[in-house]
Amino acid sequence: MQNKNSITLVPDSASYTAVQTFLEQRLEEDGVSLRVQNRVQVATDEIWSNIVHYSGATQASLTLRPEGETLLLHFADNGKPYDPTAAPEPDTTLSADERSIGGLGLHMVRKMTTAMTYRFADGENKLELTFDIK
Amino acid sequence: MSLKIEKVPADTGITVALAGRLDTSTAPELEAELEKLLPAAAALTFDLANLEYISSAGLRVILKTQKEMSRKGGMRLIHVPETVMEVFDITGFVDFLTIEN
Repeated sequence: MQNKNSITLVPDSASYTAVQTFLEQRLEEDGVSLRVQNRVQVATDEIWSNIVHYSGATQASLTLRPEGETLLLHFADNGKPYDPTAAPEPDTTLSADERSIGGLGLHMVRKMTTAMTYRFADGENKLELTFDIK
Repeated sequence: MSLKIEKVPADTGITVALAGRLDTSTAPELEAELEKLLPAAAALTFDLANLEYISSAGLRVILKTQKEMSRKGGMRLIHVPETVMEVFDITGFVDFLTIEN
């Protein structure tokens, strides 16, 4: 199901392409810079892949809302309650040999957005990311 | 979808040029390709000139490859675009990667 600002689908491994294409078309239409487009795509890949792999959700949606000089990205899924804003920060000062990749995705999302808010309501995880589009 | 992997044999080792997106859907392709290439590669160069973006799924493959190549002839990255560089900065990968722009 898709309208101008929103896409709803079964979050499986085949869903990434539809989500990427939706964002690409929508952001292009709004004249969002390539730099911000790339950030939005990276952040979405991190959040969406968590939903696909860990949530057990059977339905997930992504809604986009431009608001002045910011862009709001809203994710909703009917999977297990999971608050990504409570995830621990990874240590980004370790050497390659000491590194693991755990937690890096959410760390990137935090750094690329100006706000990240989570709530569980109506049986859904609701996560909102705010991007600066100036 | 949409990652192009091009292999160019070099004097020392091999150059792998990536074009498109390195994310959850495409990282497994790169990982599989590298598994075939790396045993025979003395050294590795990634040419990222046409890489649009990289997510943590792509970083995982870069990290794994870095660990493997540091025990051999090394790994370097060339032509790293601004958005990709931003990700290496944020994650602290700049501290251990060899980046030559």
